[in-house]
Amino acid sequence: MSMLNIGTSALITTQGALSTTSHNISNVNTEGYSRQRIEQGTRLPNFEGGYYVGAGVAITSVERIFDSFLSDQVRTFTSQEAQFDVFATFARQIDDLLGSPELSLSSGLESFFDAVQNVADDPTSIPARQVMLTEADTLANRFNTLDAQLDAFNGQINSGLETAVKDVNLLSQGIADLNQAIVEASGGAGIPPNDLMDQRDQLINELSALISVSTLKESNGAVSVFVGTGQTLVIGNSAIRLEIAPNPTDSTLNEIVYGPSRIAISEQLTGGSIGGLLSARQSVLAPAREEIDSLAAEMINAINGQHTIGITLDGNAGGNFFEPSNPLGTPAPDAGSIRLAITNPRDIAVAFPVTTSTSISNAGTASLDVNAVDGSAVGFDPTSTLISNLTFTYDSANKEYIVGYDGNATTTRIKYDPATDSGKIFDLSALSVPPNTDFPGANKPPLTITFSGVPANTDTFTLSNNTTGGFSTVGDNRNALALAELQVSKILNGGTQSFGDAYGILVANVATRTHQADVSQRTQQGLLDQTSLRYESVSGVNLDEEAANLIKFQQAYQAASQIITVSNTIFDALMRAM
Amino acid sequence: MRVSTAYIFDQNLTAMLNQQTELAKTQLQVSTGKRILSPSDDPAGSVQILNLQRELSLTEQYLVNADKAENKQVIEEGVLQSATGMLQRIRELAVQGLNSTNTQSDRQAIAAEITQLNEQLLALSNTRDSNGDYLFSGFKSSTQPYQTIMGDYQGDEGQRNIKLGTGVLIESNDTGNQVFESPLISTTTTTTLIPTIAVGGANAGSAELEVTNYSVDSNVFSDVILTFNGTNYDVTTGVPGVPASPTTITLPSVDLSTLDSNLPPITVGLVTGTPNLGDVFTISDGAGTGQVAIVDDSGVAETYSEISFTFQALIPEVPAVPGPAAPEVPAKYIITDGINTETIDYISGENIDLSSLNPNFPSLIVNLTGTPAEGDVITLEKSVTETSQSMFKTINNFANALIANNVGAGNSPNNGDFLTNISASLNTVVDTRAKVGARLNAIEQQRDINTGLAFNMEKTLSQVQDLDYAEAISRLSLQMAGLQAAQQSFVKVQGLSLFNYL
Repeated sequence: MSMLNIGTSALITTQGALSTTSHNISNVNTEGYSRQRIEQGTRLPNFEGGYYVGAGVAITSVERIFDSFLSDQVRTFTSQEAQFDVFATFARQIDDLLGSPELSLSSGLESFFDAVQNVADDPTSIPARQVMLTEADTLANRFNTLDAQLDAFNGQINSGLETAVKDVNLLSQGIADLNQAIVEASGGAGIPPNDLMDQRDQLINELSALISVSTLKESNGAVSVFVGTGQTLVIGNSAIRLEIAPNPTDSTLNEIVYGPSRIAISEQLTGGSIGGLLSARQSVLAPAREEIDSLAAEMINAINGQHTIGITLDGNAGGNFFEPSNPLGTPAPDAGSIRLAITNPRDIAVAFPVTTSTSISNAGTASLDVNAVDGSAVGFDPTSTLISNLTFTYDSANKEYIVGYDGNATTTRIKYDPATDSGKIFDLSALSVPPNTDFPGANKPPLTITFSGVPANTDTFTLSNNTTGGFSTVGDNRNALALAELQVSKILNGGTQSFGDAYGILVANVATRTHQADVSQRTQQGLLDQTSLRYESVSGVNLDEEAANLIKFQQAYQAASQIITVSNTIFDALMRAM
Repeated sequence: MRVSTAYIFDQNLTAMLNQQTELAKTQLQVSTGKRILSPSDDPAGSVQILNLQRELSLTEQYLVNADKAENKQVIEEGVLQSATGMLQRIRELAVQGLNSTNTQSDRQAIAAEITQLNEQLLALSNTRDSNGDYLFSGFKSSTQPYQTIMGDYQGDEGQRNIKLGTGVLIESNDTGNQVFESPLISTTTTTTLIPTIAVGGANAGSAELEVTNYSVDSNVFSDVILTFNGTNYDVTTGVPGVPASPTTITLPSVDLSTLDSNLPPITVGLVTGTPNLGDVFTISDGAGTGQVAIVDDSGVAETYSEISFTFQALIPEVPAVPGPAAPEVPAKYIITDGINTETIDYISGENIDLSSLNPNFPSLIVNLTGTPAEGDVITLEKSVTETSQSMFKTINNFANALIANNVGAGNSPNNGDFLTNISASLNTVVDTRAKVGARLNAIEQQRDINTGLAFNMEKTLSQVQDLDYAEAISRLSLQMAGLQAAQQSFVKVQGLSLFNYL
């Protein structure tokens, strides 16, 4: 009978092998499936008299071919690749936004300042002024649109985080459930439930695409999963949830909190799409928003500062050009709220608040130019820049101008030697450097002037408010020239950058980060590909191999069937002999 | 090494997708002609592009500004050209009108034409540009600079600058007071008779006095006697009650009329030496009534130093030995400008052309009359006052003088002054035209510079941002070939399976 038993054991074992091969073939495209192999061995031989007779074959176990080192590597690279991929996706969007010619602040600033120069060329031209207002409005709109787009990116990051956290919770719950199933299925015998373990590994793989995780295998077959700096996500058959909560200081930012105590752990999370979202927000989006806001605030300050010292076409004080203005103590205006403060082209302040007149009896060739007006004093009104006429009378014996202002006729003196000082600039609000004497009293003219040329003795210049006795200097373009000069002035970042420079640096920063992320993503992709190849070469199903196995096991099955047939024949022969 | 079937499939698929991505990017580059599609393609290059575009836009604006500045200069140049023509015609008419052969009605006809031209000139000064702004009123561009011929300038001194480059500003206008106001000279010639000083008795001291600042037109005065009292001079006259109280003077220089209103307005000064106690000086009016009048001052703006005429009634000495009486010698004037000296016989009522006496004398015709006394000195002095006023006023004043036939040498302003002033007006306009021309040159040069800069920037910009088509097209074909190969091999490799043979 042993022959029949042996044949039967071979048939059963080979059927198991064929089933496993079929299982492999049928799961060729199953994500996370590890190919399985039966381990077979000889059955315990029968002791018959003085010797052992083989008793056939039996399946000792069905094992999955799995390398946990490679599996861990795949997870690590999956996390990193996903992080750089998400980061690069967001950075590229911001990069495209800042670089697009339709939205770029760079071309907006160019068009606006070109329009300012056109107004300086024709200060009374209403069409030129109208174009300047339109360009300013367009520029403000570009700021608004950029701000709205960046806000939208922030919204995308917020909702991305929400989705990812939901997925993390689902996955960790799934892992916890599988842990329980595996522990139960293994029983005391430690028989591995291969497919359940594959499913659990696959869930952990999916989790690692969302966030970087580390795992610890417990002795009972369960796997604990940790994130961040060791926060437990899954332990045994229980999962701890991550949640989304608004940032306490900036409610527009979603943060990730951990467990029932809701501890903020965003900063400790790395890797995966969550890490990518968080780092894109921190190193690209936040600096870009900050820079655009600061650019808007600086531009409002600079342009309003110059515009408020000017005089409009109707002789009124210039007022603010952009809103909201930024008086001391108020929050800085941001790119989202900037808008044009004036609508009437006549309200553009193109004229300077003071005018120079040269005495008709001047015999010398000297001239006096007003370079700048300081409108920073509280309550400054360009229509009353000077509280009285300001007169400069040259004393050639002492080589100095005697300055008359606010009732004082003689005490203030400015040294001016035409041989050495022509073109020299004097700040009338701070003349105290000897030998010049400062204006007595608190009222100092807020002007910076230039003397040039050779004055004759008693030559006189008078500075007076432009609006005194009715405003008529409508052709004065000096404030427009000063506004146009803001385009190239290095007024940002401690006097090192113009508006265009600052925007260029922002674009460069984002572009560099995007470029880096692209390169890193490709590197990680390469590493992931190589590791996956190695992993797959161990655990993946090769159909040719399975086909060969199929033939091999089919042949073994046919041979085992022959054992049964032969056994039958032998039995028949025996029966006939009876 | 064994490979998994699913992995081969995935890898091949990914490779094909990557190739497609690259192909699409190259295709986009080819269709846009741009090398850099988003800043991250080349961060350094894209910042360079931003900077270049900014500079280029600025330079192009400078070119636009240059065109506008040039337009303004060309308009102004046109106005000034017309003004030059009118002023030249006015000057011709002035020369014609000053010609002494003209009758008053001739001059009135000429004045009518001059007035007509002056009106046109005024209209030119009020020219507006295409914006309706006055060209010549400075910053007050909506204020008419000259409302009437006699009106003052209503604009201001503002000169608008237009920016033609970094730090390059050019003035785009000239103000009316620079263009239409010109120096105005007015000449008055004064003749002075200097009183004589007689030394009383035989003065022991070496002091010598001098009398200055006395007009020949002043009243004849009686002798003034100065007696040195050791420290200063006692002043007395032969007239009782003059001076009203005892008066002393301290030399070196005193105007007698400031001491007592009845004393003559003469200034006495100490020339040299020291007086002794009791020295007496008598200042006596020149007894003569000689006059020197200017008939023609065609020397125009010629200036000259003081010319003095000293009368010498030469009476021949009586010879010691009796004989025939010497012939009577006519009285003479000795004429000197301090360097050249000529002597002429005095014939009352005669016109003397000074320049024909001596070419170094000014072209001045004088008429000598009266009965001068021995030693009388009459001086001629030309004084020129120079102010500034609008040329419309100057021309109008001249036209009025022509109408009134008031354009002689003795008038103030005199005939020469008129020509000088009209020439000065012409020169002012011509000078401004020269400035405008210089500015046009400067604009042209700056435009050349900016055009060159813009060209270079465009070239650099193209190098940085534009696509190298040859390279891109060959890359495109390579990528297409690669994708095609990947697709074909994918199909072939996927077809390979042992199952085909089962």
